[in-house]
Amino acid sequence: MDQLSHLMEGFSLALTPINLVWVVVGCVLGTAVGVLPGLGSAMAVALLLPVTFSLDPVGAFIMFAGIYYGGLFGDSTTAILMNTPGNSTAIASTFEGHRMAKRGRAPQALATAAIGAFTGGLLATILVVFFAPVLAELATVFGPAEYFALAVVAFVATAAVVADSVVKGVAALAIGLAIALVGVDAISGAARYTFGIPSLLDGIDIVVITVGLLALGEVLFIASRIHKDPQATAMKISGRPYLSGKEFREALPAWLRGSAFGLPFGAIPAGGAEIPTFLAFGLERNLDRRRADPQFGTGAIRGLAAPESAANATAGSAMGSLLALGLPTSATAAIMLAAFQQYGMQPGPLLFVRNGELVWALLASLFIGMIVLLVINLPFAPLWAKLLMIPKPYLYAGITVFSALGVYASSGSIFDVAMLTVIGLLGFALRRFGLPLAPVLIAVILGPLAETSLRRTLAISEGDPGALFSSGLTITLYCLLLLGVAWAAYSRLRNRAQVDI
Amino acid sequence: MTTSSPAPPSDDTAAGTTAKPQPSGMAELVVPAILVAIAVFLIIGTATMVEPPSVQRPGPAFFPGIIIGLLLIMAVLHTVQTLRTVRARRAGLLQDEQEAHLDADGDPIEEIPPDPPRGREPWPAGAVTDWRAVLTVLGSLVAFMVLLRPVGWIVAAAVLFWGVAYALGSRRPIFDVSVALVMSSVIQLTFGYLLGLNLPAGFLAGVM
Repeated sequence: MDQLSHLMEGFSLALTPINLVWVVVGCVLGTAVGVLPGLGSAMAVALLLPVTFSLDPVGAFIMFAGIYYGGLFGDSTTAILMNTPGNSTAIASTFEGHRMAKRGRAPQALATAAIGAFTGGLLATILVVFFAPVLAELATVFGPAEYFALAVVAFVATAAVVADSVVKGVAALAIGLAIALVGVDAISGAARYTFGIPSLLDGIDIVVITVGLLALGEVLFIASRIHKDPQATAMKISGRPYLSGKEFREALPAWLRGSAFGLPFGAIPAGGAEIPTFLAFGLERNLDRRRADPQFGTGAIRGLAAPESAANATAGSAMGSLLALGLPTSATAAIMLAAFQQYGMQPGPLLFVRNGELVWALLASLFIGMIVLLVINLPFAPLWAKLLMIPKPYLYAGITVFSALGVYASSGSIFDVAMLTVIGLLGFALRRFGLPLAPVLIAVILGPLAETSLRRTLAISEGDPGALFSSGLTITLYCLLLLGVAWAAYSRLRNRAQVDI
Repeated sequence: MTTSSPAPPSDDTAAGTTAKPQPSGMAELVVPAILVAIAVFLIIGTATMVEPPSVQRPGPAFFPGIIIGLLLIMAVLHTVQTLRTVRARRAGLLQDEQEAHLDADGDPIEEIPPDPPRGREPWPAGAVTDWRAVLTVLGSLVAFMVLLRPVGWIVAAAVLFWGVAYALGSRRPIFDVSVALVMSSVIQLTFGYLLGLNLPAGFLAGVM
């Protein structure tokens, strides 16, 4: 097996002491931002991106991968202990997870979540190792029309299918595309929307956009309502922090079913782990109804196990489609794509050829990271919950200072700090009015690719739009997109009466 | 995965399964206003764009045209949606609170979590934006930009830290300022020296 030998090489690179340090740092940071509500792995990677330029790319990516997975391990801790999901990906885990905690089974709930996240992530990463190179090989035949189709699928899926409101999702997408237009046009060389400001010729720096939207926007949002939010309090827990054999056997099928939901969703650009977590939760609920002694509503272990493994399986296969196709399927993946671009690499078919060493070290570090995360989460979850005792003013003041540091350090320009403030205000407005941020980020990052591939296609075909649908691949992609939209519309109509879950 | 869940814990009084309707939904019209503003920005920029003479078709104004259209359509749709919601709310037609507890067949839904997860609810009922706090954060950022070059990172970042902490409700000036100075100094030392980031030393330029 070609993949296995590559993976072994990756392990030899990832297992150097310094890279192990980066894995652990990433996992600790990721768990921390996962635990803290409002902070997420996307924000953490965005904040660290500018200050890691002096690192070697392998170390930086290994750390980012640890943050990415760590966020998904950490977010269920507060969901279980305080009924406050650390991230939207843990909402589905909150229902049964918090009920378990209320009935004095908090340690078991935390263990179920950690093992579930481990199972999902592990299965997904194994699949990525074997299929991502195959996928990348397939993708080498992609021309501009295919890339445009991929970008359109990513746009529509994140904006229309995932967002709560289609109008808000598409509006967010359009805002992102507009931001991406600023700067010199890659094809003609015309300066666009710079209004004579030289700093804008290179476009608005991706660091400024991501840090502004994710970090500063969040700070402003929290500031605007700080006096209204009650403090969450954690439950005290005691008892054995592991599962009995019976509990393990009970949760095992749910872990596997949850992973099965997550795996396909990470590979397609459906915007992240929320949908699969809710699907996995729904399936377990329906299965539970048919049992002789329904458990749901009283802290069912399966209702927690399935969404947890689904979330991490999604994250794992999202990594695969990011590396093999250059297609980010979530906000964090979008920022990691930006990170690749900052280092002068383009994820996609050629990455495995040109930067094979880095890719395989990254994949190997995912396995190492998973084990590290299991170790730091399984016995110590209650300790992580103590992070919520950091006073909010200091936490957010620190984030603000770090945002300013990152932006100023990467460019040395005060203008960029001013730009950061403007984008931060935009991020605040988006949050205040419930516009999703993921479409903005994906549009900013894939916008230039969409534009150039669209214009190249049309230039080659001399303006005939039929060229966009001329290959089997593009037609397949658009058909899949139509199917997804139809499914989303159907389930939205069906679920209209139960929007509260 | 949207990593930034829209809102951390929210109003406990709104902790029913649905947030109570707001008194007015007109503030939502800010969204179309932003969309139109961005569209106008793009239109002006497109009109004044200097296209290089030998440009391949479609040219640099092609894609922006699509986006301008998208922005304006979404602005109109969002306005219509907002106005309809406001009208429905005024007429008292929104009775989500009962309906939300019934499934498609009209049977009561029993799985409604006793404590709905926070962060999923919309802006809490009747909440208004705390503009003073927002403006304090913005003011601290402006102060940071003004101060950074003349007096250096340590002071400018400390001012920023303290300003944000104050905006978020911390009222222990001496302790806050100490924390701020320690933090900015540690950053200057670790990132400035170890990672080689270029941070202005300001009045400490001679010393460091």
